[in-house]
Amino acid sequence: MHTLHMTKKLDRQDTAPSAGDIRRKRAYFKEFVPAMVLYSLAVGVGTTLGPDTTAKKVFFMSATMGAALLGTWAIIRSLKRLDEYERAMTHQAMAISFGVAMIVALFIALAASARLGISKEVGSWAPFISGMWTWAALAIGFNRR
Amino acid sequence: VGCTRYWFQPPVKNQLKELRLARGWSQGALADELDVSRQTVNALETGRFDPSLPLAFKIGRLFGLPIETIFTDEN
Repeated sequence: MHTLHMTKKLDRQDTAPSAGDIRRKRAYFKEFVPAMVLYSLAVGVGTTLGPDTTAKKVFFMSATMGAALLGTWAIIRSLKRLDEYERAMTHQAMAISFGVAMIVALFIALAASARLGISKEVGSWAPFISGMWTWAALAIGFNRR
Repeated sequence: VGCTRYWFQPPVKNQLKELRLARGWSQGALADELDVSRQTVNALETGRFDPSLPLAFKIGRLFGLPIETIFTDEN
């Protein structure tokens, strides 16, 4: 009974993140969350603020771009913190999602050539969204192990 | 997908799990000792990932054993 309890305890401990994992995750969120809050604020202010003047457009573009760059900086710093296995998995996920985005882009181009009536918005965003979703799904799948 | 070895590469077996359990360490504790993530320790133990030479030396130093005692080539 005692041995069974000890084994179960060790199994539970095995799936628990290490102190280093927690430290790295915290560091990432500390940098990424403010960037996303800033981005949401910029979008919120930009879409609700008065008429479409040149000044507003400049503010909207620079504020959202600045916040997006801050988010990119946070992601790059988190990639630098990865160890060799995590880096290999990230590269695999990126390669597969790039392949998915290319296939979707090719499908849309062929469908447009065949005049299947795919809207410009869908054609522009579908490769990006499919690539990002694939990357996110693979990243979650790899991290669950 | 999710493995760093190609299908044509023979697996490299290791004694990592046995050595870790002999010391009563969790995967997280070993990960902290090696300064890697818990997922990396799990991938090493299940043979989905072969470590780089610097990491293999680090593992050897930690357990006080030569690399070839911990890792054995199937060839």
